[in-house]
Amino acid sequence: MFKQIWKYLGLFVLVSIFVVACGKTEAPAEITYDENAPITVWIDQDRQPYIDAYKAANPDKADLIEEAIVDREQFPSKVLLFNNTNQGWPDVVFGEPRFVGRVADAAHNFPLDLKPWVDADVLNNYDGMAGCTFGDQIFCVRNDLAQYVLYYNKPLMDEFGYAVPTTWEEYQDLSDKVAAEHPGYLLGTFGDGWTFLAYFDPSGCPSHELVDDNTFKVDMSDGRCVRAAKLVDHMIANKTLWNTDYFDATFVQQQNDNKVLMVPMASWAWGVFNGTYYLTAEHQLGVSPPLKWEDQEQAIDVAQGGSGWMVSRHTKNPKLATELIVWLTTNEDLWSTIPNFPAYKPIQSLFQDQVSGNDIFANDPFPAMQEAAGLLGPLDKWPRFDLISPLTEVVKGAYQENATIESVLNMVAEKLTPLAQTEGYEVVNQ
Amino acid sequence: MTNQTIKADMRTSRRWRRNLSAYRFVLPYLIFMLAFGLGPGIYAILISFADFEFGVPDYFAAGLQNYVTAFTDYRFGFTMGNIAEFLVVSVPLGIALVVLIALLLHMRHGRLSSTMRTLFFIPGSVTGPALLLLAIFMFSPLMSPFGSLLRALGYDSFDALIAPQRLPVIFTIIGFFSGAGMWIAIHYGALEGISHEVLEAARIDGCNAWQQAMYIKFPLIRPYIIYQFILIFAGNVQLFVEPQLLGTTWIMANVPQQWSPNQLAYSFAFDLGNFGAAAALSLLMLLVGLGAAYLVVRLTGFFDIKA
Repeated sequence: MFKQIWKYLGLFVLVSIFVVACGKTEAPAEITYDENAPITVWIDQDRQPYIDAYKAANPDKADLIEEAIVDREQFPSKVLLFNNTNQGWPDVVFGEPRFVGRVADAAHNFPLDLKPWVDADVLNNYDGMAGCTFGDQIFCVRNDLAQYVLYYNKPLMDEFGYAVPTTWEEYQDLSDKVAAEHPGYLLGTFGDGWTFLAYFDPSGCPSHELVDDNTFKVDMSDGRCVRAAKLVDHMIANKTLWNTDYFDATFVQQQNDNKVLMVPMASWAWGVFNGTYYLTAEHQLGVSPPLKWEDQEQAIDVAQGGSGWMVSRHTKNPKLATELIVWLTTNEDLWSTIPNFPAYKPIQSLFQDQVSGNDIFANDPFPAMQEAAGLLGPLDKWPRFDLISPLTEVVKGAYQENATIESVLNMVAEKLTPLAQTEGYEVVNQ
Repeated sequence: MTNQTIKADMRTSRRWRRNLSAYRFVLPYLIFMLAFGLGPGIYAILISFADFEFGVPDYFAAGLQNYVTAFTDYRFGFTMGNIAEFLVVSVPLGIALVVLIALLLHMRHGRLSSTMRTLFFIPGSVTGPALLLLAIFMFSPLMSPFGSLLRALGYDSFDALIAPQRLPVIFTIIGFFSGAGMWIAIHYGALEGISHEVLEAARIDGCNAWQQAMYIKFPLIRPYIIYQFILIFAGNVQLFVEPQLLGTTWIMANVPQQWSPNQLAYSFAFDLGNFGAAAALSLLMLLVGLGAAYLVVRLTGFFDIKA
């Protein structure tokens, strides 16, 4: 009886393999474009009103656009599944540039080069395009920016008689003053991958530099990495840096106890100061441009998030798809209602109207934010893999071992190098 | 056709008819097993030889390359070591504790025993990811009811507690609470099935409660323990949700991105688009589970028909 089962099972296996192998997918045919073809747009809940606004403004196109609300964390893996079945790709996708990097490789092969479809004058007018640019191709347009600025507690700074620093050197000097005169007060936090980037990228430290789209540079022995490590080690030692990410309950508690003098955070973070995370009194929140190192001509800024739009190379209607993403990122009426910092330069002043009147601020945040937008450096470009988790491992590991950050710098290279190699990058340290 | 073959045919058809209702009962299970168990397994074998360089499977183009890629990956040894350590801690400890609790509960019938069984069962009714969130609260000294215990052990914060070297124990604790209730119920059921005469005879012979548990009850529920071993081993080899969720951007504990082999397989498939290497690694893990089950069945004579 058992033998018979095996016989049938073997037969079943053979037949299945034959059936599946014969259903081999065909090579993709040349796409014929059709200006009346419907398109599917992948967005999150917050972006739905944008699409609805486009439909309202362009009623003749409304029927052609189908919205799908998705979890974009799954988007790169979904693309692979669509590639497997050779169908089902969305036409337009909303997401951070880190997703663009992940779907731009040969296996995903997803985004369309926008250059032939979007006017060069428009394309050249976005800030933060490093993350969208791959060789001479442009795979996305930026929606909004998440450039870092320096948030400070104006009443507290005035009370203590401190001036807002403009360089990282002044920032470190201030930390010594605070440690001596007002122990227990904080100048920021350092506890995960994002906070790591917040201190190391502005120094120009090549911890994740994309020399080109196939070459990944990591050199933690670079002086710019060492000085950033010395800075955070100094401030961890004098207890002016907290040891968690921005949203850990303990750091939130410090904010709410009014113990945080300043913290470098993204431009959207002012939204978390008004009660969603941190309780902030009226006219308390000062905003100042990102700090620079004394030997730098201008500051190098870093971003935490900020989004963009890309179009699928499989779309049948690239004309409508590209028209849509340009409208969504440049339309003045739309951006008069959006609380994010627009990447499209000509409409950035619209953001000023929205934030400047907010009672939370001690000064007009817009000039600092606009300055920061222009300072986003080449490090604001994501590789095909996640940087945050490995960097978090290094930072948290150092705390657990009571080690200094300077002493674990080599771990950053040890973690990122094989990851990058697995993703097909050539890794260099020069 | 000779007489003999006709007779043989009649015999088979008679047997077939006799077994028909049994086959009907098995059929729904068989369909699901083929569709969701064997089918994907066969597909995994197939794509483990397929090349995915350009996203679309090119069948039989990769040869053994996917196996080489998976087994020589720089994380392969690391993840295998982790899962081995986890199995060594979680399987014996899980089984021993569950059997002990079941035996203890069975010593004293009554309201306390049934209340405790229900209590043990509750965490098992919560699904994996939700249970993990619960565990995060339990492991956060600021919020946990065990906070003072954690602080006494020197762990002031969640981050101080969740370190790579402690993960096997942490996952064992989480796994124990999610699975223990079900297995306690099963073992308790098995203990209930033990004939009263046997226990009474033991008692008359002067057996106390402990001796009854050790020498009478324990040997009689042994087949269930072996069954538990096979399922727990196969389940724990596939560890995925706990390390994956702890490492997400939202929780961001100090957990290496690919800690278990299943996470590595997932990363092959969904970070790198190499479904072939993912399939190769998954098949290896299947073999490990099957191999352990085979060894245990062979060594214990689990399937031997009792006279």
